[in-house]
Amino acid sequence: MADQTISDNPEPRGERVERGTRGDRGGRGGRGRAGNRRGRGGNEGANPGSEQRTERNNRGGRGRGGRGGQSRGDRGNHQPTSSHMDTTNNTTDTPDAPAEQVSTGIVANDEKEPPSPTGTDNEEICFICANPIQYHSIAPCNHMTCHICSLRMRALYKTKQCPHCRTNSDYVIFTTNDTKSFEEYSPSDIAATDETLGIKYEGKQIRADTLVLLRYNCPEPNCDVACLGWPDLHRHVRNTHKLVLCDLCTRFKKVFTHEHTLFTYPELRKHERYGDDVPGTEDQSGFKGHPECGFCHKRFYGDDELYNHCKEAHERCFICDRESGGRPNYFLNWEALEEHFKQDHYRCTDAECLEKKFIVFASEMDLKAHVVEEHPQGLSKGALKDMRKVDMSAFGNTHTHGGGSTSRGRGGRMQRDYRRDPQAPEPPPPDGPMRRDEIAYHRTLAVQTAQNTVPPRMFGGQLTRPPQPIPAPAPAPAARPTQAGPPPVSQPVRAAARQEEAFPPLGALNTSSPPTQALNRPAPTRSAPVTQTAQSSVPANVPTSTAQKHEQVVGRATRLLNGDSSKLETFKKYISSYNSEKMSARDLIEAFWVLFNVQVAADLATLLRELSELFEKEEKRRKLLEAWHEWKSVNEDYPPMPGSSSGATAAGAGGARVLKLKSATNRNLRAGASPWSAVTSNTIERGGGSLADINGGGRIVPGAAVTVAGKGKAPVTSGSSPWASAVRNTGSVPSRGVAAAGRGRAAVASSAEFPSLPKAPPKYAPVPRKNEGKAPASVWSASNAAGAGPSGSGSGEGGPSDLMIMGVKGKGKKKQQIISWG
Amino acid sequence: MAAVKRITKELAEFSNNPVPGVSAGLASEDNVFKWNVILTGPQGSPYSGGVFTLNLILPTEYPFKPPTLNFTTKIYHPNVSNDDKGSMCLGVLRSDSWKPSCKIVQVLEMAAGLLKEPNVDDAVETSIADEYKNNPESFEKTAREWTRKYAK
Repeated sequence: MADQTISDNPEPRGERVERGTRGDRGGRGGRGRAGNRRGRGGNEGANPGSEQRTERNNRGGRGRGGRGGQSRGDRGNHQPTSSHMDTTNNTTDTPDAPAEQVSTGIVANDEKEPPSPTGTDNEEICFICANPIQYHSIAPCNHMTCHICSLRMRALYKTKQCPHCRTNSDYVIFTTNDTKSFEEYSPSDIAATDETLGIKYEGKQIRADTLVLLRYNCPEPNCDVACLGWPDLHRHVRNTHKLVLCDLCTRFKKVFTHEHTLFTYPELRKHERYGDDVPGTEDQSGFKGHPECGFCHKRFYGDDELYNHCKEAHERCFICDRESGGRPNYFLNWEALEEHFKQDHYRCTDAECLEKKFIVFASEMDLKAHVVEEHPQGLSKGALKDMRKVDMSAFGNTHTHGGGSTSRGRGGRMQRDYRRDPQAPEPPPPDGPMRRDEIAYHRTLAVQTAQNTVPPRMFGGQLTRPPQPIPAPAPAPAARPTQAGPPPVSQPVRAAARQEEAFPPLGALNTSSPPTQALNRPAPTRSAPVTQTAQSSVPANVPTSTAQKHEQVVGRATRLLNGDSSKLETFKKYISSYNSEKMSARDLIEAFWVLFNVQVAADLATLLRELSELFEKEEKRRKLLEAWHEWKSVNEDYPPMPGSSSGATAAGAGGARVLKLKSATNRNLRAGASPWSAVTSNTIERGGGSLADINGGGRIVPGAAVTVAGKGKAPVTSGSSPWASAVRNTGSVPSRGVAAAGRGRAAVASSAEFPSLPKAPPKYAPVPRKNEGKAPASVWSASNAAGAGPSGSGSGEGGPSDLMIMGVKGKGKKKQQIISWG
Repeated sequence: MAAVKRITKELAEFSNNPVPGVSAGLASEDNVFKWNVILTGPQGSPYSGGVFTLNLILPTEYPFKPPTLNFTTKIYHPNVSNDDKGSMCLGVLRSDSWKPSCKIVQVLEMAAGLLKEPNVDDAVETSIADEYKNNPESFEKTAREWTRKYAK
């Protein structure tokens, strides 16, 4: 009988898997077992009859609440505080357990769709995302999530770890069955397998429903178009919906395509600058904008990306960094940094040191110490003595008898100099990490020692040494391969070399990872040039024999795979299956993309080009390259959704599904758990007024007003109706007003900021302008219809001030525009 | 976004089943991504009697990315950075060991646990950790002093 099987099953699994696992996994296991346990242990005086009854209750009535979300995950995590089931299971009878059950039950009920008395599986709530589960994803560790979370991890975060226990699993199974453990699936239970994602599907329908998520679905809620790739989607939303996607978000944000947000240009600017967090609504994003590089005025997805950019493209002052306790102090470039050194720090002005590029000190004392030590030639004996005197007194008593080991390296060296002990050994590097100038100094010393037989510390030695016309291009210390170049001839070149020497980390960064990556990124035609440069640079060392070529490909693949040999095997397997016609060129490329997990198409481009040369059959070679170009043109340099471009062929079938899916992944917007809904409704009530500009979710009456008014006023253009519909779709009027007000600048700036977006067909450009020029006017005229003249100029002043808060600045200009159009 | 729903759920759970010694709530009603947390110093620890406030910031990608926890009250503790940030070093909060299944309440419990017993192997302030290991009396003295000074 059914109850029997249910209560029997989980026990063995429970023993097999760990406690936490058991709980996590067992939406159903928990259901059956929990009832069972309670009947047995928890409910004192249990008898078989009551056991049965309890169980039945669990499954039917309360089971929904308990089993949904709350109980499932909680149990797994052994939060004695957060799980009523757990409490019941582990601690037998906790006094507050019943109360918890009631309360959590209520929460769960709130989250649910209309309750169905049969208690079917779709009411279970995913532990990770707290949304109802459509399909279950089960991992070898027998942990379960909803298929969306699982796919998110695997396709977007590119990790095959279990979200519960971080166990890596090559495959997970997507299924409707939440009672069957991973091991119980036999190959015959699997209807389809997706190797690149590592997903096995119990049914074809599940696979279709899963892959539909990975297509380039238009985020517009009522649009079921699936595009071919990012550029296509950008074009689509711009042409069809007159809206844009945030370029940075589409590149970096780990959400499915349809979960991205559509903006108007002004909204986009707001999104970039301040984020589009809408406090108080259920769909608040918490996003605070894309940070901007103060030098380049270029925005980056997040702080990490900005940091990487600054590290690569700009220079830090090591002295300021130290003084500010590690907070980085950036300068635009070397010139700016040099200027800063000149003005704010103590630079050694000796010609030699100037050439070394930045022998610079935080204090005058340090500089003097350096001068006395390194450049005693230029000073008279008296001056030298004076300098030392100053230094000595400044260093104070601690250093007068100390010899070498002082807290300040320079002090120590000074002392030894003063004693003029020619036999004194090299000053030991001061404790702790050396400053860069010190590192440079030590290196110079090492070089001198190697080159001169004269002990470097000897005073006489320094005097008699030839003045060193070209300061030691140096058989550099082994650790500094950058020095290996020919002796510098021209000043700039030498300077560059010196820079590297004096500032190894920065120098290395500057030269070895040129900012081409950053520069290239926005260009729409980027992949092509990159490939070209790669091609043109390679011939220098093109290997001639096939064996060499082969080696090169394998080497590159290994590098890209970070030396992961199992992945390398997969790589080879893919190639051989392509070779034996088991795999199409297109599949091969997509498989590669997932396998290599590269962010930049250029890496893959080089690999594929090299690889293509290995194929003996001309056709294979051609097909591979063709497929690559096709793939590239669809994806350009956006991170593609794995498996998506092929899925796009199924566009027709998926339409209705997409819409359903959109509502599924957005369901939380409506659901409203208890503490929250109050807040929200509250905010929305207020939202009509002062919260105007943050009330992005309010698709409410004013929108209609704008639409109507806009139509009436707008010049007769084809643009008017799309515009109206756009207004309706995106909602918030106030921001629209703001939007329109800032439009003049927006149009220019946005095209500059988003070079990667293909240029809009010119016919659209004037249209929105006209309309938007009108739009604010119509808002005013609609809202205080009484006094509004057709020109709208009079009503502008009288408009509700809170609507205008952000638009005030542009108003004057706008008015002019309106007039000129009218 | 999935984040809000999950956070809301966790908040509801937390208010139904509070953790002893920990109180937490939204810093402002309309932002679920920022929580105010108050830890009371556990009895028998040098922090006993102190009240420590923390900020819990949840990333927009929660639960796929870990939250961050910062002490706004100054505290002398091996696992809390002794600077204006007051970052708490919790193993689970590192992005490479974070699990999406981990809940805020667990994070808070761990934070409370660290007050009871610092984890010297995971220390962010190594000097304080050394002192805690090698010279517990002096550590306790300073910690008590700081508690009296900053956390009352």
